[in-house]
Amino acid sequence: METETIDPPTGTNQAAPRPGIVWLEDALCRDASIVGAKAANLSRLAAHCTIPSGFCITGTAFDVATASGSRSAGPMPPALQGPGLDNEVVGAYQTLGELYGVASPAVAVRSSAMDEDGGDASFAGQHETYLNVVGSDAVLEAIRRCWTSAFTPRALEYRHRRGCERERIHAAVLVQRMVPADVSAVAFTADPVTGSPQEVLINASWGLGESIVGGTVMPDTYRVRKADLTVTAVEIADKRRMTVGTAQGSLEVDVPRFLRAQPALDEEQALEVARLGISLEAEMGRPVDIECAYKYGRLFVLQCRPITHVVASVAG
Amino acid sequence: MTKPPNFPMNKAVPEDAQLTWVHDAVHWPDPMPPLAFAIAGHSLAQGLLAAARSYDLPIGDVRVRRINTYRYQATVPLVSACEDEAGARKKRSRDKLRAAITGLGQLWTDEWLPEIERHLAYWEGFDLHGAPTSALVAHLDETLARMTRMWEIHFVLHYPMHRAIKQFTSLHQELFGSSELDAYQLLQGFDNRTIQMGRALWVLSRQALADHPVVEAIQSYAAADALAVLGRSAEGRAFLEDLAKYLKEYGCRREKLSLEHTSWSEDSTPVLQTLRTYLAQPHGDPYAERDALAVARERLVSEAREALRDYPWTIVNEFEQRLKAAQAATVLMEEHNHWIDFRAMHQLRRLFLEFGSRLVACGMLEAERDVFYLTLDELRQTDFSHHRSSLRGLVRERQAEMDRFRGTTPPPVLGTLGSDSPRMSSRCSSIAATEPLVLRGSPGSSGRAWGPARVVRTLEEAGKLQPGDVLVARTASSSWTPLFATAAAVIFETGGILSHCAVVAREYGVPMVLGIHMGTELIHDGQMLEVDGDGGMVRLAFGNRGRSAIPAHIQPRAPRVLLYR
Repeated sequence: METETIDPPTGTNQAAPRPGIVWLEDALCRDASIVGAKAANLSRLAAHCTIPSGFCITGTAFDVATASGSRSAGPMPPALQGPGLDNEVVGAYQTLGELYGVASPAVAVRSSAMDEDGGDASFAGQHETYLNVVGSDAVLEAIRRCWTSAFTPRALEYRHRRGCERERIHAAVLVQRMVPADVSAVAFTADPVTGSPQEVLINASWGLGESIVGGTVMPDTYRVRKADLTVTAVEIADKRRMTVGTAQGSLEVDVPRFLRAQPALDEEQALEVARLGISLEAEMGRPVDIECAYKYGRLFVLQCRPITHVVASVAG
Repeated sequence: MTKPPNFPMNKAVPEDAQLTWVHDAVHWPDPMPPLAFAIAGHSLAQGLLAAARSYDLPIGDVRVRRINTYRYQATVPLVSACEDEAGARKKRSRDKLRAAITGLGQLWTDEWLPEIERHLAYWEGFDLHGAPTSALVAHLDETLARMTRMWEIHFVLHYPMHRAIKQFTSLHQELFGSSELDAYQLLQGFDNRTIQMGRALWVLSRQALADHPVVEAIQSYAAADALAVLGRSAEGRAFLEDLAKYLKEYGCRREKLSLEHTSWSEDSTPVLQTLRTYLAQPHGDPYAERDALAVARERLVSEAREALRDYPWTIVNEFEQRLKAAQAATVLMEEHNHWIDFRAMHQLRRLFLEFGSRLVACGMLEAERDVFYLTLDELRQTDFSHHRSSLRGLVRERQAEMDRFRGTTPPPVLGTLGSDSPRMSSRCSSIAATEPLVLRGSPGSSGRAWGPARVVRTLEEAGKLQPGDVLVARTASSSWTPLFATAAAVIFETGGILSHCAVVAREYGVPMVLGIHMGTELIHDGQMLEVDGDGGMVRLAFGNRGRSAIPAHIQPRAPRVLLYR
């Protein structure tokens, strides 16, 4: 696996005992109890794949920010309390910009709740994700919204059914450089239906991954046998919709006709995604579900989590 | 369905009835004399077929017939032995066209234009007047072969050129939900030959404005007299020199494509008529207008790029490639028209007029231009040294035949209507039932305008067009386009969004509606019109002649399809 090392930006606050912000490259970022499982997984895998640089607003920051509100009362209106954290976020965002040589880099802002993306319960889709956020004000606003989303009736109900305690809710938020994907792919290192661990199953389509994850596009499907890294099946779909970055965030649009029936991945790329999946599965010690994106031929990992509901059969 | 009684079809060949015969009312709207048909007919069809074959297009044959003096063309599809073969050919065709689209500008500059210039040099170098008759007849056959090759280049260019533009506009529409005309705005503001022709005339008009006697001569005298008056003063003679320079470059133009029409170098009346309309316009700056279009274009291109910034690279790349190809193609639309349809064709006209002149000298013809009523074989077989039988009677007969059919509207299609008949929808307009005074056509160039109608039937009448008038015509060759600088809007009976005049109307930024069927009869001089170029409609105002402006006998739709027998 080709690895990109991303230099830790200067001015991070690793030394702070209860940091409000940690960078994905920081050792602290591997601690799910501080940054949530999503960010911790990514941080841990950064040595094995390319991830877009970014930072995390920790659960501690969330706790401080929401301390004044009643946790047990219904939908709460958290806010970034005090100028301290605001300034830290703005500073980190500017550092990210310097890293990429742009004043206002586009970022993706996603929740990385403590009890999300853990091994036991996947909270996929239960929290908000804001794509193509540009400018520090917009970033602060997106972070606030992520916090609020942890308290939506839907999210609370989901946790309740999963037996997660309300008191355990700490919403960390991940801010990452946006990858304006040419092609997005979702890969499962075990068949999500049969649980068979023999093949990597890949879905791929044009643009950002939202149309694949959201089920609004029929993606291409590739199956790669792990044993000898052979593509065993390819189904090229008529890919009609795609999510693209816009000035306002992101938008789902029609795929131009010339591109609909073209394969989103060539065989080399399907194999590259499969190798990535196998490598991350080994690192995580269990079958994983990864979201990744190609930009100008370069593969980025956006998310990696254990496959929850087939774990038992695979483990058995 | 019945055919009109004034359009008999008694010479129908049974196998022809199986084909779809199309009258191209844009390029060849009028009755055509035999010699003009020899070039626009068989020679063109051979060139077209060769070009289609070079791209592996599924065209087995291209046939032309002069039916009741009108030019009709039918395409015989190539039937493949099996689906695999058809599929393989389709792929080859796509690949070849794609290669041509990608290299369009380069191919034109490096290969096609140099070849055209070689043919032109050959024709220029041949001593028409000095050649003995046998050499002239040999030259005729050599010329025909070269002209067929010119048509081949014309269509070798035509297919990828049109495809490049359509591919761009359709992608733009898909990506941005725009109209076709919106997409064309990203292709405009580049100089092309037709625009240059108009602008050179404008420059000439500014030179004329500097000298009162010159203005006086052009505005007050009929064209022929104006030239004589100009010759009497120093300023006038200086102007005539400038006019001669203009005609050296653009004198090969005719008001219509068909060869029997007089070139401007033979009779400059159309040029002087257009100059007259320009002299009535004290203001105007065609360079600034072009630059403004270019600025608008670049702004729209930047906006499109910005909107696509985070799109998949494949789409951005495709957009850029199609944009580049379509921009090149838009310029070539007018470039090839200038070099082939006018410059090369002008050489054939010169040759035919030489035959005409010799036939007049030996008394067989009354006038040189009567030569166009003869056939190629009649030219080849004529013995100029002997007064055999006069050809005058034959000419009169054929002129009478053309006159008889000139008043009829030739059916757009004859024979069998296939499933893929070309662009039928754009040919017809109708009077909308809900709004009786709205004529619906198709969009040609963006914008709205309001002004009095001016029906112009030939360029000889161009002088009556006043600034702010809506130019109404049946159709036109690109030679008419200098009038677009004067007109507030343009309405044509025929033509598509990619016809030369539509391409050029967009460069002039003048609103245009195409396909207003029988527009020159429905609309009267002076009638106030509202023209909506984007919507492709024309609203006839009340007042003037009001509702009675639409004669009761005019049917809202023309008969579209007529079958033999």
